[in-house]
Amino acid sequence: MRNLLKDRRAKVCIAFLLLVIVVSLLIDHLSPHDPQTVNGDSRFLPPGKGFLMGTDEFGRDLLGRVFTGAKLTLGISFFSMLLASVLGIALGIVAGYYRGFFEKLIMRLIDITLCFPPIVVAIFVVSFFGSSAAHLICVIGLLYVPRVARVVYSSTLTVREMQHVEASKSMGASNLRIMLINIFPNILAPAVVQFSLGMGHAVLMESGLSFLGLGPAPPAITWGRMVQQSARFMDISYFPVLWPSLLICLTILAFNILGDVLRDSMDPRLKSL
Amino acid sequence: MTDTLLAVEDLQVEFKTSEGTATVVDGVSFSVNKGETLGIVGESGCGKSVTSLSIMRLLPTPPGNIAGGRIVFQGQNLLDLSEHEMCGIRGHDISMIFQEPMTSLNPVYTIGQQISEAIRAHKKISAREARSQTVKMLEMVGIPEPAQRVSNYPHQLSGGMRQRAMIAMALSLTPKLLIADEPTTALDVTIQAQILELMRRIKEEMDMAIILITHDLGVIAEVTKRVMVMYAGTVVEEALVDDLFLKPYHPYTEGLLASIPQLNSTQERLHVIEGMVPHALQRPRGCRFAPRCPYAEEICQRTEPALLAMGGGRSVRCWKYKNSPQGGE
Repeated sequence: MRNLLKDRRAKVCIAFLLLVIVVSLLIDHLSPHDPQTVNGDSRFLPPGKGFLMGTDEFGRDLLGRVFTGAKLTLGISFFSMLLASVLGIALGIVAGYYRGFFEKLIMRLIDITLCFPPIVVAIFVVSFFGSSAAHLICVIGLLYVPRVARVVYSSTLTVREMQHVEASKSMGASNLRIMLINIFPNILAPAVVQFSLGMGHAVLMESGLSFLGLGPAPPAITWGRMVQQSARFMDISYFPVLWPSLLICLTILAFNILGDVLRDSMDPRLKSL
Repeated sequence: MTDTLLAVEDLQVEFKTSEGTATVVDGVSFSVNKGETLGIVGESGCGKSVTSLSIMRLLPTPPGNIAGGRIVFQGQNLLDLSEHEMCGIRGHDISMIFQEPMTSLNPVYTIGQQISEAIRAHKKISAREARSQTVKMLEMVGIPEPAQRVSNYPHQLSGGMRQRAMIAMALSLTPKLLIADEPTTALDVTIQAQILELMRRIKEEMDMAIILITHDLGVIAEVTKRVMVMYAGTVVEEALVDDLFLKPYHPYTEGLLASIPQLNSTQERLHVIEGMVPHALQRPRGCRFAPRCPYAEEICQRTEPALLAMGGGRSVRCWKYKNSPQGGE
């Protein structure tokens, strides 16, 4: 982890992500404009004084809207990955540690889950249960469980054969204890990598679903929704589309690079003791 | 008459494979008295480790399966216990040290955390007490500066130190029986001698019985009093160490002893027992050692000999001695 801060790519990515997160959390205090206030006099303004990023088709402040949208987009992504990690790690460890029946049951269920195209599942859920942030978290989270579970499962297979597992057993440790103390900390590294890479995917998926109108309904602001609403007016002003698209792009890139760096730093072949 | 701590009776262990059921341990019986050291020798794949894992009930099942026999520890058949009861025995009454000190410790916790963890799994004591006990254990196994070493991670220790830490963990609850499965194989010779010396000392101090499993007769000679030679899943000879080295009865033991390098000999090539341990699925019909035995006769190919008592606590499984059932010297 300490090596992470020495890596230049990681430093840039972490700085960028922290900036987005901090600004979005403080946006209500930083920006003089309310992101929802419609103003007919200030439609399609380019970036400039007063409105640093310009305004959209209703004259609303784009800076405020982009960072208010970040809250929801990143929040949904984070909680869906949290859900995916908790379920994926639990299922992966159980499948990998017990083998046999559990392994077959869990891994086959995961194979089945992977068959569904994400968008179709999302449309299905939203049309049945309505669109809300919570539903989106569940959909994205559950769709990401298989990836986490598979990675954790394969790591567990390696760790369970290590002698310290047998040594713990020979000292009278129960199965639950072994899974918590011997397996879990030793599979955490690949799980963290998956979390970071998954965040990138989740942002993309959330934006995609919102763009298709399957995300939280307006007045809630998400990046995907902003792009969709303003795309019609691109010939008049491209800024309302540019900012959220750029942020989607950069955020995904940052999470992916961060994931790659994390993976490299955990590669035992590159690691020095 | 003596205090038997552990008695293994007619142990049968099978492994189910896609090609059929392999009987890996076939009718092994032995006993260990309180405070005694028993050595088990044999080459790879003869069932030594499977026997020890069976005693701990740590055999991976499936594919492994204890098909028959009894393992009586302090008058209680371990094979009848539930998994939960077994957890109470492991570590507390019987503990085990392993071959690979490099991987036997959990890399993400300090050795202190791991040892106190193990103590607290069995005893209700505070974390602080457990820690001071841990320091005491580390001191006992000869780790210098134990108070600092408790907060080291396994990768910060050398192989010999790790094995010492492992022994400290195994002994932390003063078990009555320690099973050491090739404890020195992965260590270099000087460290090996130190670890063996340590085990001998601790055995005296704690009045504990040890089952030492190894393929190294030198190690056996150094530490144990009684030794059991295994071949292809069966016991082929059992004797006191001195008697065994003086006059091996079984041709296999003879071969093993002849393959030990001698400092004062001028021979250039070491003695080799020709052939391989037969695969557990394709064991010969008669004596299991017959295909490799220089003395093999016609009867050896046909029927398997029984374990013959030779007097003086010795027994051997070989047709050579069928006419002298009490014939030991």
